[in-house]
Amino acid sequence: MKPNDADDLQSIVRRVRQGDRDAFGRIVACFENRLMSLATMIVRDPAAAEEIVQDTFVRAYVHFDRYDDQRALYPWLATIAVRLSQNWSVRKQRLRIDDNAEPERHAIGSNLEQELSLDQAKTRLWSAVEALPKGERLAVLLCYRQEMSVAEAARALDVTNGTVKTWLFRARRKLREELAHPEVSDLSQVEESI
Amino acid sequence: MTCDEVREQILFVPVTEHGPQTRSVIEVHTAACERCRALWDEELSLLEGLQELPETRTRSDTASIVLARVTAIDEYRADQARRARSAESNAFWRPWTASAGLAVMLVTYLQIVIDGQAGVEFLSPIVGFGQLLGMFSVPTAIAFVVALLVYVVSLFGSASNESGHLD
Repeated sequence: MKPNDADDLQSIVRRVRQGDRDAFGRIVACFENRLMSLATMIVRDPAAAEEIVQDTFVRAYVHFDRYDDQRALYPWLATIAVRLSQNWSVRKQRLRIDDNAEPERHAIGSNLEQELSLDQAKTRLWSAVEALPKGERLAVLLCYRQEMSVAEAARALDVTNGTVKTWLFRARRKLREELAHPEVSDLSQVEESI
Repeated sequence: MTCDEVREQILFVPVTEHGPQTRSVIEVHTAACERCRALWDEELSLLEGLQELPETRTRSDTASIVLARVTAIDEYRADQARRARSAESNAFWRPWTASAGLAVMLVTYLQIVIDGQAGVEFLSPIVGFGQLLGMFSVPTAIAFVVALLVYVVSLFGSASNESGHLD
């Protein structure tokens, strides 16, 4: 069901342009989980992420004429997903302000650990990524997890390549520190729980 | 490459952005330099750790939901295209049918006036419906009603062709 290489994907894209919905189904099957990971890490709400992934594909289908064949398909889809996720986050933030409620912290972390039974090191890394500021977290996700280039990530986030590089530099430094000295954050978590 | 250059590459350029040539230069250098190798190993293990984190999976019916929505969009687009074509053809015929309707109404009206059935009084705006019917011969009345219908339909027939918004 999944496209094996770039040529295969190109022929699928051509078929979608000719109105072949089944071909679009193959694109969905190919990228849905990757987009789900991205959206989940941004909005930290699996139900909302699911909705965002669906909306991303629908929007991509509606505006498929805007996709440039010369570029890779996934970064284009990821750009749509990032924008939708950011819009969702802004709406959610606004609702929180209206409700005067406490912000949720690391909503996804504990669920994910349970679902995927991550080992301790991975859990620590996951938590460290989650704790990064938004821009840094997105840069890490897009460049390392989603294997997008700095230029593609910059386009998706609507910032310059330099900004993405700066975010990556800071994020890597924090992650390295976090992984090298986990005790500090563990201690702060214990204190928090007390 | 000097240690500073290698460290700059490792610290400021993401591993995923290193070309094969840069990577091999770094590897050659770090094989001989312990300090740089520690930094390089740290960077690689970080990348590996991030890439090893499992993906969150979508629900099993995501693809079918997306395809159902996409099908609905295609149907909506086809409907919009049909409406657009129909509006286009209406736009061509409407002035002609309206003009024809008006012309027939004018002719029948003039016929009534010239026949002298209505006389000058008919030109007065207050004419009872029964009186008006009495002034018409049956064919003239039919022609008048048909012309009126054609005129009304041609004016308002395309009112339902308003387009909506997709997405």
